[in-house]
Amino acid sequence: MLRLEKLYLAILALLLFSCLSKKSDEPLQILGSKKLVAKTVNGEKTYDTIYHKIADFSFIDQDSNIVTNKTFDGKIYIADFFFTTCPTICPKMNAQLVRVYDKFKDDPNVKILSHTIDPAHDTVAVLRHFANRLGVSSKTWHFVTGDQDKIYEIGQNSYMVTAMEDKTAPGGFLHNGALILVDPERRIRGIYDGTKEDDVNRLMNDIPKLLAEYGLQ
Amino acid sequence: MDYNKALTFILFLTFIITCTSCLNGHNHDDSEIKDKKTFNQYMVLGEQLYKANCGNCHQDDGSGLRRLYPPLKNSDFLDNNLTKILCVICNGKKGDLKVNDVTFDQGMPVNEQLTPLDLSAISTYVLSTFGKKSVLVTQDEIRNISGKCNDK
Repeated sequence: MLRLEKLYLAILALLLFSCLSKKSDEPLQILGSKKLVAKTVNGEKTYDTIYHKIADFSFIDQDSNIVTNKTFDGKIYIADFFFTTCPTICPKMNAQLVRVYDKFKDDPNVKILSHTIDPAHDTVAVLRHFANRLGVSSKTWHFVTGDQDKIYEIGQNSYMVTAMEDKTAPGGFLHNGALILVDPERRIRGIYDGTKEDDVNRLMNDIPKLLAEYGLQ
Repeated sequence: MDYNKALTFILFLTFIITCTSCLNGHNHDDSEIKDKKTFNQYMVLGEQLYKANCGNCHQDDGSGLRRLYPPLKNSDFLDNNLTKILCVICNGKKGDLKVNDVTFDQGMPVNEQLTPLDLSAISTYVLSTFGKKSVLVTQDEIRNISGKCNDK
């Protein structure tokens, strides 16, 4: 190969390498609606970005612990919506979340928050039994129940997922398999399809990135 | 490259290819199956249907999920007689079921949309892939279990 061609190849390789590494260095996006709020600082007009945040909540988990936003202070968590008698999507989501649980269960800064969208059936006792069957601890993975309207409201407005009763849907509830990654400032940093292994792989790669961003690693 | 080396390499490749083609999901002896054409059709259809309808709980590789959903792979449930197995595949299961010394209690929902052809394909695939030997389950056998399934 001529010297010139080798040089071109080297430049191309360098560009490709820098493109690829640049991608992995970028911080995770902040998802959801943004608001620019004007303010005056020292006589100068500046703008603050107000990001979409998860609203206040209070639910009860499988060990009868009250779970609120404070439970996740200084931590990151993965939220999802499911119900224990779900025949289609949830088994896949739970199988994938078990992978996430297994990888991060020893990290006190990573938690999982699964909300039931069928609180009438999924009582604390049912959720405890379900969690035991999955072999997971509420130290890391909270299965919560509570007021149905509040769960649907936070699902749709805060986490931006579909979750509602639907008599024509399998199991009687309509919902998607989204997993939502939340940072310590209650902002959404990623949404993943919990039924797809490679999307959950992406989540498992994003978790250490988010931890590093907050110095939690 | 000299002739001997080339020949050895080709033989080695052939060996590898033959071995991997044996790992076709069901590595049992198919020689007892008389109607091989139907068997092969059911295995292909059954695999698709299994992955679409059953794999979400039992997993594509049949390993189940912890103590929530039972495994099919190495499951002692598949040692039962054919009628008992087909009753569960076709009608679902309410209440407890013991598999490999673990009692599972979530039950299994019935899927009303599966036709006898679908069920015979799924049953053929499940038994031949996760059971001890290849089995062709016919649509007649699926229809014949009606009335024979006592504990629903």
